[in-house]
Amino acid sequence: MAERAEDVTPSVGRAGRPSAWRELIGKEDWLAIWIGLGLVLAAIALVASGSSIKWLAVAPQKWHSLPEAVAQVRDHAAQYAALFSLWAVLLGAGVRALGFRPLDFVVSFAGVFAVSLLLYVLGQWDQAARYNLEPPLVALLVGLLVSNTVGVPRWSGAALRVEFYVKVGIVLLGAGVPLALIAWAGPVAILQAAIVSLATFGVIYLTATRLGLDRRFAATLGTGGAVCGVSGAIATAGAVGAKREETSVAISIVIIWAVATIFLLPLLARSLGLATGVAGAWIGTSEFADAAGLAAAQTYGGYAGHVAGIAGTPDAAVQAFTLMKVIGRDVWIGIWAFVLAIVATTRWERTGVSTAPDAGDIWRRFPKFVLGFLAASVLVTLIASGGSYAEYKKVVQPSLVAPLQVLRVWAFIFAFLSIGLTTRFRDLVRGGARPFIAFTAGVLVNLVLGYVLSTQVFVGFWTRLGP
Amino acid sequence: MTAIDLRRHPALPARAPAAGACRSCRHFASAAAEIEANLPGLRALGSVYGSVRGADGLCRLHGRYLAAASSCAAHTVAGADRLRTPLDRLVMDR
Repeated sequence: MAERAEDVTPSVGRAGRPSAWRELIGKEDWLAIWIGLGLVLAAIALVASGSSIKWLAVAPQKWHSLPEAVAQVRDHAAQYAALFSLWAVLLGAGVRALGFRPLDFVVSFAGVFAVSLLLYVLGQWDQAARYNLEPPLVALLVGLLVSNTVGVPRWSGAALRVEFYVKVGIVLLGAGVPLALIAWAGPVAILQAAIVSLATFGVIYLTATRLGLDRRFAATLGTGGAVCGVSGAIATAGAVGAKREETSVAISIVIIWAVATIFLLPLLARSLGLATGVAGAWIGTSEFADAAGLAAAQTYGGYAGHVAGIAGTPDAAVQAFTLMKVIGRDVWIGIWAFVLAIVATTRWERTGVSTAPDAGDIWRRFPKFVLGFLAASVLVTLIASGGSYAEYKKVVQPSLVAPLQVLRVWAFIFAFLSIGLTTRFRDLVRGGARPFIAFTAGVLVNLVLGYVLSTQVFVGFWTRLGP
Repeated sequence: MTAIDLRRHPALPARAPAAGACRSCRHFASAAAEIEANLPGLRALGSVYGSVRGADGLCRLHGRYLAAASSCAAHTVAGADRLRTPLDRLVMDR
């Protein structure tokens, strides 16, 4: 069965580029903004009218015995059904705009939601931390197991949109990050990320070219490791005109390392007893993809209060990760692509295809969902600044911020499950040892440098993010 | 937005292709589903529906992943085949 009902060919303007309107209603980033900000505005409106979105933003609570867990879900069945309907309508409208069939989405999303609920409930077991049953890791493992054994039908791809869910979740996360925090920690994140990104790109690029790989391939691998994983790799591949097979190899290597570090980074940070904010900064510096890094950061946040010796709040890990990865690394992809396009055009060997680098690509490739994250932060900061701290703790936090963060956790669990369900190791393209060696050299530098900067040089910032 | 015209750069061929951009070429595949199908693993931790892709696509002729503004001497307007008569095709393809 065809995965998509139709191909939405962007309408083009006079310059031959997709029209601005088409961008606003047809690109994943903007759709995530409309959904995320729509939820934030609806939540604000409800609070202003003396109500709250709390009833809808239902989440499992801690439980000790299985009958207790079953009773909990049964008692809140109507709320879970309403929450499913809300997500099905909002996300369904989004994937419809991307060109998928709504029916395919609803059917497969029902499965995604049901499994996510089970995983969320499992994560609330009071013994979950003891057995390492953190929802992100379990979701990933379950997904990997299913997709690499029995497989998933092609039409279910409509509901396995990892990046879409992550972007919606990051916009919602903005409602829980005060603007002052972004202004305070943002520049540190940018500085730390810039140091590590430049070093990682340099190591991968130089190693790859020394090993005899094509420069365009080396640059694609380099930005995949240094900036934003798969997104970085395809942005650079397009800008420099990399070969299709080499782009596939770069994507495959990024995925292998990104999935490995989802497990590796929380394990290392836990063995070192890092505070949640510090570990989040390290993960943000050293993970390769937003979804993978959020899985690692949320896992580590879950250790707070459950694993002895780990200080900080659960949210600090995700907040530090987002500041580092999204603000520090992702937003610069357009500049990386533009600069590399100039270098490829003027300095590298010809390919028979010419490109005129265009500064407009810096904006066109900008990950717009970041604007939604910032807008959500501004909105909630404005609401909070209108009253006293006591009012914030009594009204804004429990009625507005907390429910929105519950919705964010749901969006992330959908994403973590979808990572596993869309990662089929036999589909990954093998490109020989040389690209893997080059990328791995960058991974090692990235991990060590990220650790030193997070735990030694800027540790004061990231520790204070926690309490 | 300012476009940096590098067609006159000394590193480039003296006779830069005058053809149209890839976005209008029959060899250029920019549909998201086709790109996803040709780049395995992409949707696991990335997306062709996001802003970072811009309007990039795959060139079936050169086997490269390219920006839509790229161009080459083999540019063929999409649908050009349909505009030609059988006699045109016979003459031109020879």
